[in-house]
Amino acid sequence: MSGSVLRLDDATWDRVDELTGGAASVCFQCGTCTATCPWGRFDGEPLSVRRLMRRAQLGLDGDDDADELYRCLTCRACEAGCPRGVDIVDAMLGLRQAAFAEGRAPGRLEQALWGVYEDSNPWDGVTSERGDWLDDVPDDVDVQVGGEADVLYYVGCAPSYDPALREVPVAIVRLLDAAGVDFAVLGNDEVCCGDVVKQAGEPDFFAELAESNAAQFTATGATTIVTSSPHCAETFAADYGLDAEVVHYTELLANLVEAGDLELGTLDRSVTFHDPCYLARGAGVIDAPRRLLEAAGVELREMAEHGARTLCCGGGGGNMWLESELDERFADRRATQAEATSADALLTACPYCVQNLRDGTKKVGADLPVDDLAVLLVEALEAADGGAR
Amino acid sequence: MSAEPETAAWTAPATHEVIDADVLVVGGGIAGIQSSLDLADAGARVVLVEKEPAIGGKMAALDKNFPTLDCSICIEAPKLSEVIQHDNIEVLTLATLEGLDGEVGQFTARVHQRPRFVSDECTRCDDCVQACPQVTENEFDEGMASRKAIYTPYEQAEPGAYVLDMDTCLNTPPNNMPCDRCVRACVPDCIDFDLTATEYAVNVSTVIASTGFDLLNPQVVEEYGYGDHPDVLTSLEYERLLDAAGPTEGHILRPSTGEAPDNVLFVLCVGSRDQRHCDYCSRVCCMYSTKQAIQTMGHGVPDVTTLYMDIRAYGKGFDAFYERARDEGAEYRRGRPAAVDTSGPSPVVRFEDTERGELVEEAFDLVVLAPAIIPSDGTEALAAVLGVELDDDGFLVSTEADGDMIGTTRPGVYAAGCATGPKDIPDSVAEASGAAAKALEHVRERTWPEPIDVPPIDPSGEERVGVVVCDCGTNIADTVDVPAVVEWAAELPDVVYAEEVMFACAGNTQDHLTEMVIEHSLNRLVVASCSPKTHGPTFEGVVARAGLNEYLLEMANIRNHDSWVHDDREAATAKAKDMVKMAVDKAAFLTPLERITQPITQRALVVGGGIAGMTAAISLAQQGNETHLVEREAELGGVLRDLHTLHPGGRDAQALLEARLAELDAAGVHVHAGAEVENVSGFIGNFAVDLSTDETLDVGAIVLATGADLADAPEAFDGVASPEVVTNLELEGRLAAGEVDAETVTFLGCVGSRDGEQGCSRYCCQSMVGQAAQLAAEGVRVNVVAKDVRTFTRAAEEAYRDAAADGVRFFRYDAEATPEEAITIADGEVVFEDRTLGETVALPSDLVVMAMGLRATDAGVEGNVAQQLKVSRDEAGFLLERHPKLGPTEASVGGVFMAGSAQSPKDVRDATDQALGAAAKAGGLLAKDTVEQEPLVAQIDAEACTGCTRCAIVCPYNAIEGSVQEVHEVIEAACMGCGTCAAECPVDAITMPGFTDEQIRAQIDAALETNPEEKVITFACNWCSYAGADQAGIEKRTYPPSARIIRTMCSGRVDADFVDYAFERGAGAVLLSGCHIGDCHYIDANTYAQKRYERKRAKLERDEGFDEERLQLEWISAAEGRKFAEKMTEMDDIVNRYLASGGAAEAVADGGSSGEPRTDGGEPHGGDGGCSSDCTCGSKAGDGRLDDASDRPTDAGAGHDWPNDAAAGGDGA
Repeated sequence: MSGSVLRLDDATWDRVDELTGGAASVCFQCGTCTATCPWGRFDGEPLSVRRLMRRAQLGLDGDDDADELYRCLTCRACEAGCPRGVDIVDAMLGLRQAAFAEGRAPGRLEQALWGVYEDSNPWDGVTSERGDWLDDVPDDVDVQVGGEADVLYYVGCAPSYDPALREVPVAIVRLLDAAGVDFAVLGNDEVCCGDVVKQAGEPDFFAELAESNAAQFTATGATTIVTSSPHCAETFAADYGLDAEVVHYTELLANLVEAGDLELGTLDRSVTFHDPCYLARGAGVIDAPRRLLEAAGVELREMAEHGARTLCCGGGGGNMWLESELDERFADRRATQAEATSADALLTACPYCVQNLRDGTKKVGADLPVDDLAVLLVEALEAADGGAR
Repeated sequence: MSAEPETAAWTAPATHEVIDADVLVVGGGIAGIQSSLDLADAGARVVLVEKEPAIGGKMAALDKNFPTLDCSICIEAPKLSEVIQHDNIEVLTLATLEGLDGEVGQFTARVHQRPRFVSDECTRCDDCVQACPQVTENEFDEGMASRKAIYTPYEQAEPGAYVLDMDTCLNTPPNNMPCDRCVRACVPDCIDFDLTATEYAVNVSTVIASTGFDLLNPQVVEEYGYGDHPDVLTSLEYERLLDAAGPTEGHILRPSTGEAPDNVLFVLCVGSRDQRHCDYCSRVCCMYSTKQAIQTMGHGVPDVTTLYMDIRAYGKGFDAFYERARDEGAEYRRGRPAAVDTSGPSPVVRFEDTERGELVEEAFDLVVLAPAIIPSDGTEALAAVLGVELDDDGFLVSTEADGDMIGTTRPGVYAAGCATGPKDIPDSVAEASGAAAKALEHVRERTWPEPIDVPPIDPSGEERVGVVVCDCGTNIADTVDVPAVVEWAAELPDVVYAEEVMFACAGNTQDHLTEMVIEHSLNRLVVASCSPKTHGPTFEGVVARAGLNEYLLEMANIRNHDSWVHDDREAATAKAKDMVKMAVDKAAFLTPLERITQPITQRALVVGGGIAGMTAAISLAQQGNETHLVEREAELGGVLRDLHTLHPGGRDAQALLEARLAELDAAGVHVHAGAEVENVSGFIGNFAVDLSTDETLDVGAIVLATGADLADAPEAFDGVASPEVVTNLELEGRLAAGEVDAETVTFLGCVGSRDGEQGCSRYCCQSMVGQAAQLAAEGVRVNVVAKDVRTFTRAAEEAYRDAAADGVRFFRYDAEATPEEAITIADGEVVFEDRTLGETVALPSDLVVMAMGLRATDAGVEGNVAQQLKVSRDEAGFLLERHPKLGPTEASVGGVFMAGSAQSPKDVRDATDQALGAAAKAGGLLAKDTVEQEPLVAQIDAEACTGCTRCAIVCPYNAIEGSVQEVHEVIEAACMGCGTCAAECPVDAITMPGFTDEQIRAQIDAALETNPEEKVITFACNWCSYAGADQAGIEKRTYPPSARIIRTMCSGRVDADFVDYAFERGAGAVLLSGCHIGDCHYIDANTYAQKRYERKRAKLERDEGFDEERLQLEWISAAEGRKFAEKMTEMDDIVNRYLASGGAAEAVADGGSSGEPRTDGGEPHGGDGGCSSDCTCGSKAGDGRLDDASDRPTDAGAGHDWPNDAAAGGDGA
């Protein structure tokens, strides 16, 4: 209780209403979102989304509120339970725009944004080295860089620049190739999807990015855009206004397997699968990775929180660039859960998740390799070919 | 209602029958039952179709009802048997409607009835069930218990015979296993596997769909863990746990461990108010969960929590009930669970307490979910058959063409109860009566059942008393050793037969009891079971069908007054024996009585010309009654005249008003506008009404639709200059005129509601949301500041969400404070503390609109119509209905009905439904030529009467004629039977049938036969204190077993002699009890009881050696179960003190407690010239009348306790 009087200001209210697409007004303050927020399970201080919205409506939001806003993982765990159907993540991003405009965004996120502005990626990578992963592609796999194709494979920043992730695009192009897909990649011309810009709360630069990227995509004539990361996929699907269909690679590959275009061999092992929240909740893709695992003959051992109930790795909503001071981080908890399944490996299908979960397993000392699903699928592909390729 | 796949041969109809009737009722829950009974009582022939094997619906499975805590099946069971026994109702169970051809006035319905495989010869011996090898889940217990393939759905089920469930039975395709164990076990040979289905062609003029509801399977709300943890239950499962007849015999046990829980969490809005499942509010969950919370605490669970978003305690008495739950310790936390973790031994619930802003993660022993109410299974298919439309939620569309919720999209097809959306029992019952009224408009000819044709039993010979002692399942048998009581009763004088039964009120048991009366040539029957107030009519029917006069029945209430309130089995059994003996000894003095038949004036009066009054009047006229409508204003319409848009739905109020006025005209209603009722007298069927216009009307039925007043605006908000403050009614006018001159409008909820005795005003939240949305649509900035948003009614929750989406800004202020305490209006702002933020918020506003509560009209006005008619009022001054659940449109005074906000605040929709319901009830009465009255009319013995006039002076109804020293006479039609005259008569020349001196003395003798000094003779009036004692039982409020209750109609009946008599017989204490002063059912008859008591006490005080505290008086209302229990505890203390003081020893010395009645005038007497040796009061036992006038006391004032004014009147005469 502040003791002071909050005077409702129509302009502030209207702005929040506009920024949140009306979401803040429809909320009837039941607190389901607060109690759902995974933050509450780690430090006992969940994000009170309903409170943030109401405070913003009354112009009460200050620096503490901004810290709260940027803590949001945008994992959509809260949306799943919202009885009023409030698009909470959109509302949060709207509130972040207000905070950004007032200079209340965290510095590190601003830095990442400047990285995108200057080098087309938030990881301090050099533009001319973006396509270096192509060097790792086996010679017998032909990858078209630029030009027109049915399918455009958008690699993304993290897999392009993180050496530990470069095996992912390599695996995906091998799989696309094996399935006989007519596809292309953009190589060094690929530019950040802008997710981090959007998460920071800078709408104008993001709009610029989206426009130029969309034009580039359209020029390829691709009817399908496939991504390594569910974050890129969501950004394209939600904000780019593309005619092309945007899919995550697991969806595309699962369909190819089902159509008989992609034949996988059987691997004798057990895995557990961490559903990326942008994939499982954001895009509602839960079955596709499991269908692929089944096709690869792998035994799947589910963690307690899986599918739509998945627990975020801690990287969403720009949190890859923010420090968490928790004793136990999301990924640590997840690593422990994964270890409890006694599976041979922990798989996922998102670059952020791979990065965070590798940290997590290390930290908790879990003897569990973490990989992207694509990497395992290539093994299965090889098993089918008897290693001929 | 869809039929099962018609593959098996037995489902194909082999028999075809045609039934000619008036109305088809589809669905046999409480709504269908109410419609059927109202129609049948009004002379319509009804076919009631039910898909289950028994009628009763969900209400039968409920343990208790809110907010009365009535035992649900106890109040429903009499209606079940009434339906089955009614000659005008044909009940088809296991039946589905397959087709409906024709149109209003001439429908032909095709009804398919599956065979029961058990014929009516069944004696319910249970041998077949014992023999059956097949076990399956018991649907009635929500699958928490099992049943056999041949079974009875529940003990009180009607029709009561067994039914064979072919899906479970071995002996049917596709099982094809020859099993005939049940057939071989059945001695009367009434199981027949060759029975086949029947198809009926039912010709009717109208159809009523009362198809009820189902609960959403909470598994779809995945995060709540239902189905994943045994201790997460639905509310209906929990209800069965609470029920003594349920799977745990009424013990709350955790399914996981079988142990009692330490804490229970109730979760509201499970799937309701939820975009992902049901958008709408399910309306009943807040209150039934509150009821379950109270019951849970009553079961000794210390920690009870309810999670809510808005407490929707919208109905009459609901807010007080909610308050009671909190007073008793239930914690209400505002929040909604995010998840229930089911991995551990107890479910762990995570939620935010939004008022404290804290995250809670807590383990509960039991989590009870209140799932959304959804349309009953098969509604879609039934709607297709009925040819009616469904709304987006799958409920039947009500057109609201006439302002009600009864009309569907097909003319002649009406809906009632939950078929059109969630509803509680009283709303369903009112609506069901309303649907009956609509249907009655199409009934051309009335049919009346033939009187029971059985040879009458002559009771004049030697008394042959039968005693039936009921187990009531475990309700009685768990506490009372019933076999011991039966064995003991069989040995009592005059008793020729005694028997134990499991459920005396069950339909087939009733038949058995009727046969028992005939077989054993009984001429008196004592039923030791429950309350005559709830079940008297049931057992009167039992004896009547045997040919025995129904006034030769006596009941001993060993449940409410014994097993439910005592823990000690031995003491409870001893008390039950006393109670049975009291009833048996009284029964010996019972005499047959004939009901008094009065002609009915077939003319109706409706008082109040608002929407309710107009609607009731039109319906009554359309049913064919001459109808008069009196309105004190010059114009009809009431508050409807000032309304323009009805919320929710946005209907045009003025168009509705115009339509009503035209209908009034067309129906030929006699309108008396600008007239008031000045005087009204008379009784059911025959009222005389004087209007202020000098007109006089003789009418048979009266509907009170006198509306309500807007509450007064708080002084603090009066005269505020900026912002301007207006009422919602004033705003309505400005809205219509387009004169809202404000940029920002702020609404305040609950102004004059939810304050002290005033509960929720029910209409205002939806109206407020509607007005707010209207303004927002015009570009005005709108704030709503409310306690809770109670948008419970159909489509209102959706309107609330839409209003928020359209920019209306909602805030919450302190629900425990009045608006003037919590809100400051000044300097262009509305300032308050926002509950969900914990911050003080200021809303700059140009205009403040108060959503005004409704107050009772005329409550304090002397001589108002209701008062003249002796219609009681509730604590807030609204008219009191006969029963809050099952009699919402009737007054407890015969022939008087109520509609609209006069009973409690209502919106137009609810007022219209209730008005139609009242019209059905009143119309049903007027459809007959005569009305029967209880024959409890005073009789004056002309030879004994001395013409002292005391009786005439005390009679509240001026029903005794005669002057000084002339023999008095009773005007039968005017006498209401209170018995005050009989108590007053100095020469005991007045006899009160059913409550004679000798009967009451016989009860006192029986009660005091053993250890009298340990007992408290308690006189309880029928209407308040006896009902209060019943209520103590319902609430399971334990008190010592010393009470011996003697029921009289009024406390005014209690003769001072009875007190003497009890003390002479050695009673430890005597308690007089009755209705509170002002609430007397007989105007002021209880004041005479008070005067007698005061004089008696004064005399006892002068009597040294007598502890005057042993005589007490307490006013206890029907609702005051707790007070009754507390008083009985206090009385027990007095008895114990008396015993400790040696009073008992003295009594023993006097022979008082030796088990034999004392015959001397003894101890209580003496003192100052009281009842000395010449007093007759001690010598009248078993006689009741003085033969010798010279034995009359010469100084009545000293020897007996005459009220002062009566004595003065007598002296002055």
